[in-house]
Amino acid sequence: MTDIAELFARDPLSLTNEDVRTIVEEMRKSRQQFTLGNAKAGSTKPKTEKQKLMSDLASKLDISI
Amino acid sequence: MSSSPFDEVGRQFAWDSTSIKLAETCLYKYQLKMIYGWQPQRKSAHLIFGMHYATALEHYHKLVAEGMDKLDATVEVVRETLIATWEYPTCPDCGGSGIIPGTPEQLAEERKVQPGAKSVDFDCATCGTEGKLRREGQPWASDHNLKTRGNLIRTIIWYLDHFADDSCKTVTLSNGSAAVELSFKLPVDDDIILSGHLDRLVDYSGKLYIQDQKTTGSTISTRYFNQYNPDTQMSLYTFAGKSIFNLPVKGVMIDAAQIAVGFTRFERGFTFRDEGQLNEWFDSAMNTISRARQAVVDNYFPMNPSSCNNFGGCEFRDVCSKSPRVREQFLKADFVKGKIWNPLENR
Repeated sequence: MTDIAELFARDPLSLTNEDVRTIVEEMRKSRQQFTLGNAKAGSTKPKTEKQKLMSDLASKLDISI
Repeated sequence: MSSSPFDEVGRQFAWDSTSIKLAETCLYKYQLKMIYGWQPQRKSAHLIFGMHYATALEHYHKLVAEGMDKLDATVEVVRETLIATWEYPTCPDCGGSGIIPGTPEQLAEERKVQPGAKSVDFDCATCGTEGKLRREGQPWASDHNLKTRGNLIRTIIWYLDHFADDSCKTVTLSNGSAAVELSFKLPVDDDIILSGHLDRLVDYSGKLYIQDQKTTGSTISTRYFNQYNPDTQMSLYTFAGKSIFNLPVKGVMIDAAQIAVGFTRFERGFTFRDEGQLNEWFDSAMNTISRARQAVVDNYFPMNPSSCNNFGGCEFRDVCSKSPRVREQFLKADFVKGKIWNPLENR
């Protein structure tokens, strides 16, 4: 689990000010990345069989598509 | 506790945009929701998401107007939203909320425990029973792929970042308070009360607007903003803004957020209302209200089949497609009778 996912999974009443600041900073960084065009928008559509096959193959060959 | 929005014969006298829209759409739907209180078994993720989002932003503006630093205000509303979207166990004695008020630092000081301690028993915040509750529970699990807890927090932070240097300012009212979180009850004709909640009154380039937050899963275009004219909620907000503050409110500034899997994108749009449009809306709304009140007297709530397929389909469409003889059974299978919506309740 990433740091931020771990913070989200924790009872918020147990989060310190520092913890919440970390969430804010991480989210701001992710916005900067998105604004710069370095982040992908993501998709809710399930992958087709062909896409699954291609990404499996890509991960085995250690290349990016 | 709020009083009932219905008079002694069951006619609704306090009306907000939600109830006016229900009566505008279909009187049968109005009866099911407003009179009987039928609602889906699980509250809509869109409603939960939108409510927490609007609450966080209006609270942020209130804190900043009171003088809090913008980063501190952001941290504060993120903390509040994280808590509000955490489902705590209820008290075994009273069934009340297990939420224990106070920051970890305050609780640590009060109870001599370390912040982050998970296995400490707390007193019930509702009935006071000692040591029955634990800091446990789980995050709100949304049934929608976009309107999730993580995306909610991201959207709040990204919005505040996006509009960090916003030239629109919260209006200060004549009593010195910031014009945010404004619940209103406005008496009009025939002993009717129009009510609602305005997030914020703003000054933008020397003109006054009610600000409202909207979220959508779709791309935001001019067409998106066009849906708000004509629109009862926006007309009521402008009407109320002008009447309550006696200020020349131009319309509603809509800050729309497109929620996607990996990002949130913001667009600002406006919907304007002039005097003639507001008068026309008021007459039309009063006519709708009058028809709904008469329906109670006649005990006759006709369906409006033309609206069954609007906005992806009415939630009661399947029920209404059944014979009236068996409709109650289908209602009981898919819906629950919950708390009846009360326009007099302050948010």
